[in-house]
Order: sequence, then structure tokens, then C-alpha cells
Amino acid sequence: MTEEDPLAAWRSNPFFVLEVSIEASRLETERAGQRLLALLAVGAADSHHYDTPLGPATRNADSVREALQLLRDPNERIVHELMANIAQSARDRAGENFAYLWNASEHALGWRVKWPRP
Amino acid sequence: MASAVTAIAIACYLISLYLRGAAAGQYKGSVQVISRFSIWVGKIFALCFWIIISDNSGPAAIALLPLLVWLLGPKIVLNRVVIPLGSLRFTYSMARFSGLVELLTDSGVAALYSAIYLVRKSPSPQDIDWLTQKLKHVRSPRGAGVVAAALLALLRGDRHRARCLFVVADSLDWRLVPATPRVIARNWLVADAVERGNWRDVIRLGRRGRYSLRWSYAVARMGERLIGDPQGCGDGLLVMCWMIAPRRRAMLPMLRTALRAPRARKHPAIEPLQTAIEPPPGAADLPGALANLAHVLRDKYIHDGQSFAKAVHDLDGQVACAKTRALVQQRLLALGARHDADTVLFALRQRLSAILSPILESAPHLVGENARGPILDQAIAQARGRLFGDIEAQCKDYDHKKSREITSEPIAAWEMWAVTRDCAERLIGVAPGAADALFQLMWVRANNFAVFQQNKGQRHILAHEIYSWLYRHSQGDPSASALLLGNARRSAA
Repeated sequence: MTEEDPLAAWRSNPFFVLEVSIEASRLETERAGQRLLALLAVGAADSHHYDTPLGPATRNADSVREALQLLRDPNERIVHELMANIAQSARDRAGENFAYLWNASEHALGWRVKWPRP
Repeated sequence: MASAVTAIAIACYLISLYLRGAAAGQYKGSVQVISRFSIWVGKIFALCFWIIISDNSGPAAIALLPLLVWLLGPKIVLNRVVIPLGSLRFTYSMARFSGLVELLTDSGVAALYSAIYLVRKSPSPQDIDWLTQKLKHVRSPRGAGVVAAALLALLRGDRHRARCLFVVADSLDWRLVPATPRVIARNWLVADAVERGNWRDVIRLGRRGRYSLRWSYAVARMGERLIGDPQGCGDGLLVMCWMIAPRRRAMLPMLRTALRAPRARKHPAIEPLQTAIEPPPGAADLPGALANLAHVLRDKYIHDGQSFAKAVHDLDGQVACAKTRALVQQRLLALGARHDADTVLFALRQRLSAILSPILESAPHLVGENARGPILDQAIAQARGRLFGDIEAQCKDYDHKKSREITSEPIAAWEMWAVTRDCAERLIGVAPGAADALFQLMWVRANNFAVFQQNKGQRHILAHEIYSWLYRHSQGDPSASALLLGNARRSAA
């Protein structure tokens, strides 16, 4: 997790990574995982990105494998089920920006070099 | 006339020697600060010298005119001519041999201007490595050297280290930091805080009374309007701040947004920023409580400790309620798991604490002074343990270097201290009650490290910065406080 993205760890919940419902059976999660691994292997355009109630995130083959591994453990699965069950209001607020966000600070300081960002 | 010219030339040369020596910190082995008076005396001598030459020989005076401009206004020449038109090595050489000017107050200035050259161009890794090597050999880096190191850290992609170094440079005594690095450090910290949405920091950094700087002050005033701070100014003052600040075109969109934001009513009974956001409504179930927490975390710099504590408290309540326990038991049965509900709920709390812990480190204002539940307590304990561990490891490194008498490069010593200081300040922010324990953990080692840097490495300003920081946090230990005050005074004598 990074300082700039406080919800990154939460977004990597296995149910979000695999894009399956928390009620999905073990067979369904395995199928979803294998399908994603195949898409990632061929470099399908949409396979690297997924949406969550907390905003968009990215995945790779390792994160998919890790998600599958976590959901095979029933105790871990229940914890992740609870954490993935977020009310709709979070999704509604995902695009809200309370304050003015400045994504081009370098230019404001007259710099040409891009600052490192996560 | 010839004797007068010779006398002035010798005087200029002697002043030049004095300033060079003072810049390297060689006089009396203490923190030397060149007064503006000395600088202007030197400039006036150079000007007199040129006028005398122009009286006697016009062509010679014309030939010497660029040199005179360079001596009188080196910053302008470097910023407007050398950096846009020159190369990295040319910029370094020109900045290094700028002569009898304020640039000599800091021997890291050549590296600083070279780093400015790099951030304005598109540098290659070889250029960055070349300048890093040059900076390592600077004998007595001061504010400019620290800012140059921060810019190089940014160019290498290490934003955290850059931030630590900029914070140190921004908090150094103004007499030790020339204007250019001071402005770069402050402006970068403000721009970084804006980018992260941390308007509290923007206002804290920008509004510094007599130590305010034009650009950061203007951004801070716009920030007050944007977040609805009761201290926010009217449209007229806001436009005036924008007009006197540099880089107005880049700031125009922010000004427009700030002008559109309504001005908050002044209410002295309410703390600034606490009216900016209403606390999230109470959650009816666990998904609602999680959504509330996610909302607070996403705008973590806008919310105050009260709304954060309420969101976590609601979550605590929902995790502990009978409905959640029944749900967990039902799922345990359905999945054929071996654990009981308590174990699963404990793991859930741990998982949530692990998410909250690094967030508290970066936004310690969220901790607040309200009653806390198990999740928040656990998150604070995790952050505190991690930061104490980091600081202890760094203090051991200080001991190791001192016991082996390892004199690392001056800029590396600054970087070590900047990172330690950042960890210590985050720890105090997350767990204010741990300030005394932190001081006892680090003061002897950090003090000894500073003494070693001062005596062996002749790094008086670094030592002074360490003593001063420790002294500010030594209120719980009068004897240590007296010793540190004495050290700080001796290092700055």
C-alpha cells in the first residue's frame, strides 16, 4: 500500500481481483481465475484493469494466483467476504473530489521532469 | 589612479578569499553566516573596480561587462542564460566559479543549480549519476546541498526521501539557507501536499507569517477557500495574492476554482477545518460501516479526527454485533471451516488495522483525542511498533558509524538524519504519548552522532540541526535539555 493510495490494499481483495460475487461457489471462483489467467497470458487489453466499489485497480497474473490461493482457505475467504461486502454508497462516492486536486504540479513549478508517482 | 585600482583589486580579492573560507565553514570551526552587508560590500567593490576601468579604458570595460553582470546577479545569469542554453557540466562549472557573490554562502550551490538544470530538461541516468558523484564530494553541504540531494532523490524516483530532505531544508534557520533552495523546498512541499489533497499541510506550510513566500502563500490562501476554512480571504485579496505570485498562468485554473468556492463564515468557536466536512452518518450494518470508512479514508486529509474516529467506532460496533457474528457462523458452517466466529472476527479486525496503520502514519491528525475502539487501538499500536523499530535500527546505525569512526559522505549523513527525523515526527503524530519514550530511545545516540559529525567531519550545520531538533523534544528531561542547548549554542557560536 502507498501513502498516496490508502485504499490500494483494500482494492486487492480477492473477490474484486477475480470479479466474482461473494456468494460465488468455489468452482465459480476457480473458473473466473483460470479465465483471467488465460486473458492475461495473451495480453488482452481489458484484463489488467478491474473496477471495485472503492475505485478502479490493476491486476497481474501473480495477483490473480494469490487471490485464488486466498479463497481456497475457508477462514480467509470469510474475512474477505466481509471486507468485500461494501454498501453501494461507497461506489456512488468513488468519483467525488471534495477539494481541488492538482495532477500537474511539476508544470506549476516550471519543471519538465515528471515526479515519481505510484 | 593605478594605485587606487590596485588597492581596490586587492580588497576585492581579500573579501573573495574571506567569503570562500566562510562558505566552506573553515573559520573558527563554527556555523558561519555571511551577512548581506558583506555580500553587498563585495558587489560594490566590483562595481567600483569596473567604473574605474571604464574611465581609463572603454574597450576593456565593455569586455568586462558580462563578468560584472555575472558577479552582480549570478542567480539571474544562471537561471535565465546558463541553464536554458548550457549543458549540465557547463552549468556546474559556472555555478561553482561564480565568484564574489551570495552563491558562495553554500558550497552545495553548484550541485543545486545543476540539479535545477536536470529537472528542467530530460536528464539521462548518466547525468544523474554524474551529479550524484559531484554532490558526494561537497565538503560542507548546507541548505542548497540538501535541496540538491532532494532533487536528485526525486529524479531517481525516491519521493519519500526527497520529501524528508525538503522538510529538513525548509525547517533550517533562514540564515543558513540561500533564497533559491529555500523557495524550491517550500514550493515543492506545498505542491506535493496539494497533489495529495493535504490542504492542512498546504496552509501550514504556506502561511508562515514573516517567513511566508509568495507562491506558497498564494496557494495556501486559495486552499483556505477551497476547503471552506473560516480563515479564507475575500476575492480581492485572493486575486492580489495570485498577481504577486510567480507562475500565474499555471495557477490560473486553481484561482478560478477558488473564486467559485463560497467564502466560509467566520466562527471563532469552531476550530478551522472542522466545519469543512460533516461526519459520516451512522452506519446501519457492516457494509454501510465499511462504505463510511472508505469514504473517510479516500479524503483522509479533509476529514478530522472526529469523523474518522466515528467511522472506525461504527465499524467496531458492527464487527462486534450479534448480526455479524451470526453471519460468520453461518458461513463457517456452509464452508466447513474449522475456526470459530471469534477467530474470524479477530482476523477481520487485524486486516482492518493493517489498512489503517500506514494511513495514520501519513495523516496523524486522524488519530485525534476521542475514545478509541479495538481496531483503532490496534492500528495505532502497529504504527507505533513499526516506527519505533525503524528508529531503533537507525539509531543502531548511528552507533555503528560512530564506534567504527566511519565518516560517510556529508550528504549521506544529512539523508540519514532526514529519514530519522521524519520517522520520529510521524511517531509523535500517531502516538503523542510516546514522545518521552522516543526521546529517551534516540537522544543519546543522535547527540553522539551529531558530536561525531561536528568533531570529525566538521559538519557544524548538520550537528546544529540535530541538537536543535532534540532540544525541542527534550522538555521531559531537564538535564538532557540543558546539555543539548549547550551543544546547539556551541555549534552555532
